[in-house]
Amino acid sequence: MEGRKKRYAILLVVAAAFAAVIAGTAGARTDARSAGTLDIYGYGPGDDVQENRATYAAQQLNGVTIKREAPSFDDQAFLTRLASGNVPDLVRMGRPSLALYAAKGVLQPVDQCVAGVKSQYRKGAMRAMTYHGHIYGLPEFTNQVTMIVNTQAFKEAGVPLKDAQTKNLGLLLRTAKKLTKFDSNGNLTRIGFDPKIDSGFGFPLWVKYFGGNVISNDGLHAQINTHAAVRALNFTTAVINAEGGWNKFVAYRNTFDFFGKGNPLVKDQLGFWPMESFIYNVFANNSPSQGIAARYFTNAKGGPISVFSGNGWAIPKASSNPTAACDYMKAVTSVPAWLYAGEKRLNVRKAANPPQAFTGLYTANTVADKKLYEDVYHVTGGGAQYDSVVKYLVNASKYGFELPPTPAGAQFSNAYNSAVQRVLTGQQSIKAALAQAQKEAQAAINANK
Amino acid sequence: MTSVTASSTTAPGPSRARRWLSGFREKETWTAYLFIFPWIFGFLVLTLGPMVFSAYYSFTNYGVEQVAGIEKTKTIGLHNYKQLFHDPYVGTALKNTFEYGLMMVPARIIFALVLALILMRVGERTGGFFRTIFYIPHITPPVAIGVLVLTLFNGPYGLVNKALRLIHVTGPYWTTSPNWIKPTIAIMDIWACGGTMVILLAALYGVPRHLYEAASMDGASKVRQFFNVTLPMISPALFFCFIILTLAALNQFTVAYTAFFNSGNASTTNSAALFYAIYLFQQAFRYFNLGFASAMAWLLFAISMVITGINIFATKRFVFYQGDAKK
Repeated sequence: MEGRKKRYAILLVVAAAFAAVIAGTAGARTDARSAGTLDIYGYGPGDDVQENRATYAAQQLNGVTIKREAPSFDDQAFLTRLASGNVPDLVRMGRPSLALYAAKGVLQPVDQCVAGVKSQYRKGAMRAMTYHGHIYGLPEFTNQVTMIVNTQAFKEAGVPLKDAQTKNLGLLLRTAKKLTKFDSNGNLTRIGFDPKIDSGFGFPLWVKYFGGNVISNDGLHAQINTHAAVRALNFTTAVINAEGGWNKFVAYRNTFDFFGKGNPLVKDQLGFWPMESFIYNVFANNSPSQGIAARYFTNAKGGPISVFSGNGWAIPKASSNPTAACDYMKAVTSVPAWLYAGEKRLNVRKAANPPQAFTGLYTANTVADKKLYEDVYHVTGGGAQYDSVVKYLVNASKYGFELPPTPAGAQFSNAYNSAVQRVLTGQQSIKAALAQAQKEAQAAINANK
Repeated sequence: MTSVTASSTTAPGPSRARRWLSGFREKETWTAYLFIFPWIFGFLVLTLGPMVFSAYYSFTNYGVEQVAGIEKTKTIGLHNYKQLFHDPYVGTALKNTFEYGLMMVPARIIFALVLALILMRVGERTGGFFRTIFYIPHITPPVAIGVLVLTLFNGPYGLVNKALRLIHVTGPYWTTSPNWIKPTIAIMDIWACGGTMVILLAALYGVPRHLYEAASMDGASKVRQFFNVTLPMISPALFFCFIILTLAALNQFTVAYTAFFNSGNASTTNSAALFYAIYLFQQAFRYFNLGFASAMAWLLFAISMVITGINIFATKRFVFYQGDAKK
């Protein structure tokens, strides 16, 4: 009898201990040891940086079976997975999409899980991952906009490189005209300056230049038909008109092979233009010796402005393994993961024949960026002109802003992009186009918040 | 004879349903149904099923929350249908689609008919070669055609304008000017008219020779023969092509989407290329207004039915069916 009581007591103690462990695991996810299967959507096989980071993260989640299928996020496929109940445990998607899915209740807040690491990430990027006061994920890369300068074009046109600036709009317009070239038929053979007003980042960047923001800080109020927005479209349209008008301009630009060996630098098709930082890496690969320089895109006072964009990681509400999912997203965006991938890339570039320039990796993790620059990039550098480019890129991140998350998602950006198109194609006046865009964007926000 | 007629009217045979059911006593009936089962299954599961669901969703607030099972689907009456009249892009998309259809359908039929008539006149071997050549664009994937649009029609840098320059014609900015976007897509569709051409060619081969001989003996010229013999005799094929192409025009998506709305294109928000099916897709899978998108789909279905009905009614007197087909 005594023995039986003792056995029951031991059993109770073991059961209580087991229950305590389970409760502790649920309460402190980040400390848990991940197990089971992790189904990741939107992070399938990719380039060397992606694969090396995935390798690093997999090593940290030893014991977890990881499935990585689709290489990139697709809304339609994701919806299908939600509808069928085959919900992925972890997703990687564009940061602008995140707020929409968060607003719809598809994603789960991860405040607790990322509490210990969130200070590492860029504020702007983290803000894009935050909706209604809750953090819904972690940011990954950070593409930042700087001005890319075709030094060959400046030299050929006899324009000093210091004129590759946006501080003085009069000078900018004059420089654009000087660099622009036409053939005997009146067709463009070089665009002097592409303001990129019709690109994803162009309109918010130019509105910022004139002191405005296209959306309020809480992401719930569209600010598209402002004085700043009118001035932004006025100026950029004037630049394009000075370079032959929209039809000529865009038809010529459509001939560019940005990602090939015959890129606009090699073919001397473009003088200077603002663009996301990834393109330096592409140019370094395809035309390493072609003259290139970086400059800040500045406001009228000369203060640099940059727009951030990139992907983010999030955990669907119906994830069957949120513990592993959170551990994975922290691991894959961690300092060691970026350093591991950066070192590997550097080695590959050094081993290439002829050796290729390494222009660095630009992430949403500020600690990683600093270490990548100091510990990896400084080891060899990327050649004289790319060394100079990298200095701009490393500092540009200090001046970046990212659009606040809005529940309207793609509908918001479509509203102002459509307005820009209507103005450029002459279908609407600037004021009418912006007024329509404002109405559409606000209606989309109201319908989804 | 009279009594037979009387008995047949007073004592009718088994009803249609009963006759249909009695057919299942025969093994052949089961075999026949077994053979057509894959199609019936496909129709029920992949066509009728989604149509029924989409009809239901068009009266609901179906969106991401409902897809994910976070919120219950609520019926909202005719709200989505009323919204169709308030959304300015629905009107723009419909206008674009109709304009494109008005350009593409007649032009494609005329072009295909001209090609078919030419092929009728050349020898069998040459005709076979050119039939193949003309048919190749028809089997070219629409995505590839969409990419080709930008290469061929890119203003002064495209091959089309370069060719026009040889005859001293300055071509327009086909893919960037809002006025030229729809004609450009229509031209690419006309280029891919091989399927229509083959149907019309088969119809032309089916016109009895003796009709031409009789017309010729009556002194009818070639033009008169074409309008009074050829056209009436191939009118059922023309009518078929007309209906099919009209429906295809209403559903234009892939070529326009690839050319003007893919992520790498600067004109991703170009309202001049916003066809109805593209806007429907955007509403469903970009903005996640799946209930509204379902209502859009049913509006398109209704428009397609009305246009087809009008076509059938209006062309009744122009379509000539040989034998008893019209009865």
